[in-house]
Amino acid sequence: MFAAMTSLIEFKGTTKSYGGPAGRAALDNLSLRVDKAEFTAIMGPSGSGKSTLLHLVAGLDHASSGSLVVDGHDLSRLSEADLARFRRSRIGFVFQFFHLLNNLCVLDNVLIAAQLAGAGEAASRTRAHELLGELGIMDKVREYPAKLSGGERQRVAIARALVNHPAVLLADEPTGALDSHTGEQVMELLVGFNQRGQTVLVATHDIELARRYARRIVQLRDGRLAADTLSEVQPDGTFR
Amino acid sequence: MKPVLTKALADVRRYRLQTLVVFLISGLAMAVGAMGGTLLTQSSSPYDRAFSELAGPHLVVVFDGRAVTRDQVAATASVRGITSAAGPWVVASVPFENGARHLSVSSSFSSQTALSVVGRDSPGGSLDRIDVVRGRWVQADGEIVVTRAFADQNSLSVGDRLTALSTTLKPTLTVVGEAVDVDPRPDRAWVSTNQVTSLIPAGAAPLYQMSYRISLASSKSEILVAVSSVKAAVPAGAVLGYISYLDSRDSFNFTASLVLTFLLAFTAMALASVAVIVSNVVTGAVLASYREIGIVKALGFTPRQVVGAFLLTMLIPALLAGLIAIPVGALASKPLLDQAAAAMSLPAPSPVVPGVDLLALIIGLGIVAAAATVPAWRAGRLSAVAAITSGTAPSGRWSTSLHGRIGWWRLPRSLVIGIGDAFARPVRGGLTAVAILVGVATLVFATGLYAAIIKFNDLFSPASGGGYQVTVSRFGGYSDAETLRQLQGRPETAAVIGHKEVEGEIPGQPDPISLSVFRGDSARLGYQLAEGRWLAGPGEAVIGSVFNPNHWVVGQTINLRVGGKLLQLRIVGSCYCFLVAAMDWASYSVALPEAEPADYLVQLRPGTDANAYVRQVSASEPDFLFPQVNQSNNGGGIEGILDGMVAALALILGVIAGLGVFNALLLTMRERARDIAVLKTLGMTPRQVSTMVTASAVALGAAGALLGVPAGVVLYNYLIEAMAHVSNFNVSTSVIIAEINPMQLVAVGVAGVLVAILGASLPARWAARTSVVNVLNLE
Repeated sequence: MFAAMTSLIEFKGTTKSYGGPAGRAALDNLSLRVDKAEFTAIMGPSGSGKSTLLHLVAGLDHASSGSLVVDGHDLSRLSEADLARFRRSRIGFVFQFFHLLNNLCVLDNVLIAAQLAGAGEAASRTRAHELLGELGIMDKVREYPAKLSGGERQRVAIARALVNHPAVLLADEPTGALDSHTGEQVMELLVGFNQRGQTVLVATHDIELARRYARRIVQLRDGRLAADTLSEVQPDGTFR
Repeated sequence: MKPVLTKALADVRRYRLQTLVVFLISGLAMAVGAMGGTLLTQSSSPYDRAFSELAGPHLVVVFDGRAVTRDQVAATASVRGITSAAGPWVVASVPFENGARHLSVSSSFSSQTALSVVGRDSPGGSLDRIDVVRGRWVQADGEIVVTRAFADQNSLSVGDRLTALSTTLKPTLTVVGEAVDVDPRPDRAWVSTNQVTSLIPAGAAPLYQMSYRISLASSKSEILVAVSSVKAAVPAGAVLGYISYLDSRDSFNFTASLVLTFLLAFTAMALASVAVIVSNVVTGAVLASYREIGIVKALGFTPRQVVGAFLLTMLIPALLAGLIAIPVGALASKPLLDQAAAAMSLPAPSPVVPGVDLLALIIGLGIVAAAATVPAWRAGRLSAVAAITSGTAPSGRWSTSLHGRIGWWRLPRSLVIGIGDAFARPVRGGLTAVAILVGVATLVFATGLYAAIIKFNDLFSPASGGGYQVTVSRFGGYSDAETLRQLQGRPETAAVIGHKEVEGEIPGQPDPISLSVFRGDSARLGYQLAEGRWLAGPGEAVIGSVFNPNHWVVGQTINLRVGGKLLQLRIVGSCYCFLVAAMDWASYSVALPEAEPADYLVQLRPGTDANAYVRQVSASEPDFLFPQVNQSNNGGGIEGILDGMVAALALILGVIAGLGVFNALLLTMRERARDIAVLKTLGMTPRQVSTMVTASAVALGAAGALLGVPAGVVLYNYLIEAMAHVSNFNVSTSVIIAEINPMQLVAVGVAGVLVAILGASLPARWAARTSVVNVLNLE
């Protein structure tokens, strides 16, 4: 089944260095494929290159060498403006610290992503309400982020990331700022979306969480691929 | 104090852009302040200063050499009431040419073809000194010193040779110097005492000039008492005329008050702009340093020390800026001082006025300190715990509601967010808009004032109403009939109006008045009427609306003694002109039937080249006719002065307003760096980010411009009244208040928005280039 899946993300000998050609390599000659509808956890200690990998996939940063193709787009060939357009339609990003816009209410925080993508108003509102309902925060649509709990904020961030039906949902330490219970709830929500075909790439340093929820675990060490394993499905539907 | 200074110096170094903004705006404002102050003090009483420096005389009297001897004139120095005297000097009236070019000079709305040449061997003395501004004083026969204004108007320089046309010998004199004194009339020159006699036509008697200081000279009546004393000391009819220093001084008032009001308004506006921008900078610094304020308070800073640190952070760059900008501002006033002095034919004053410079520094620093105090005081009152725990200042909800009101789906998102951000911090947005408002209002005021000056000159310059193009004077006994034949025989001549300035006496009043007498169709001269009509025949007079010392009114009949005969004239009109009174030749010839015009005002047919006409007339009778093109006098250089000032000050206010926008958007951008990074993550392109920041600037600029234009119009109407009041102007201001062209108002408003966009260009560029990864990693 795994081999039959279509490749969505493909790193080929990708290197990302900081501080010039002789600088430190955050990713070092990485080759990796992620297929559609996969739930992949990127693991590794601090400085191993997890966030850098996500930034490259999101087109927030450029690879220093090698290639990276995401959903058929060779990101090295795209301009800044094209990368922005690519992000609008193909990428959803969830941050550790949520990064909601504090002067917009919950609904507007979700809608702004749709508006930037040029989506129609009615369809976007419907989609936003669907997502917020699914994430259990419909009663908070007019609230401002400052009044939400961490878990609620992260749910809003997930809704915002998914409003444009992205090809890939990237989550950088999505549970890092949450207590364990809320963190599990967030991971379950991500799994739920993955089970409906959403490709998810989660960077985390929490091995337990990764083993429990991710179908595939990619381990990085000093920017290199250290391990790439598939988890086994447990009776409760989680992985081991 | 030391920790406060340490913290302030560290902040100055750390917040380099903020320091640079404070340095630039306070420097610009203090430069304007120093320039304004210098101009204010050095040109506020140009005549009084020159009068003091050059020991100007209270009274200059001209005597007729046919009726009085030189010794009799010299003896008037001991007349009662005279405290000191200089002279007598022999005076000759001499027309000159340079090569084939006849020389003339224009002063306040009149033109002179002959110079009063004074025989004087030294420019110094205890009274009525002359300042040689170029070259040197005359040392021998064959040399001449002319007034700077005469040299400038005729493009003469030291070394040029002038031919005197007053005698058949036509001696040639070399210009050895240019000079100024307290007499504003430019039609004067000086030669050696020996030389001057050779310039007097054979058979003509010399004129003598004597200068006096008198014990009581504060009013016109006191001057008249002195004139009467002098008259009583010489044979009857010996005094031909006199000039009082009060008359000369009054002629400067209008110009000086225009320039000064203008400068005062600009200086006040520039300082107001600086106050709001500094206040903005400090408010922004307080918001940006929220956590840090908490930390330093936790370390033991008292609220007063926090305030002190913020004030010092602003005052250090402001002080440095002042030390550099104030001398620059003072020096920048020099060209304007020179220009103003030249326009008034007075010596140029020094631009160095230490008291003014010090005052500019104190006021500048005071405004910076005052503007910084309120936000710094707020910083001092912050709760240390709240500041540390929240980390950032609470943001207002204004932008949210604004977003909602604009509606998400009607405008591009980047525009909506940008417009909302403009007033996300209402105080910051408001202060920035005020900076633009001040700039726009000042420009509107300047535009209006400029239009008023143009209208004023149009009203008071006969040439602008069609008037005449050439003035011809005749010399050497050339007859009136011959002159008329010469001029009217030319196909280019449309009309010739004879003209003569004569003196008239009002029975019972010692002070004679000047009368303009016209022969021919003088209505063609195009004087614009304030009331009534122009002269239509004998027994009529038209009065000027500016100089009306006797408070005559249209419809009144006045008695004037002219040439010993009493004339009864009915005032039929009043004109926008500097005439005291005008009458028709038919009225004048009743008194003096043999009189002839002194000069001829020629109206040319359309399409005629006035210069070519002048050359042809001059060539026809080079020894007797002295034609010159009538120069439309537009205010004696005031436009040039104001032009320069408007350009320089508009630029400075524009830069200050632009820096205000730059500063506000920079602060907003810093505060919103994380949000911008998030928006970029969500797919906002660099261009959209740039549009978003620029939209904020456009919103601020539009708000400032929309309020600034009406504010400028109100300011203009108010200040023009104030200026008229200051200058004791007799004409109703409703006459000279010009409607400002609506397109100009639109242009000034658009300029305000453009300045805002310009100020936003760098922050917009930086925002567009912000690295998402860097910003979010820093979080």
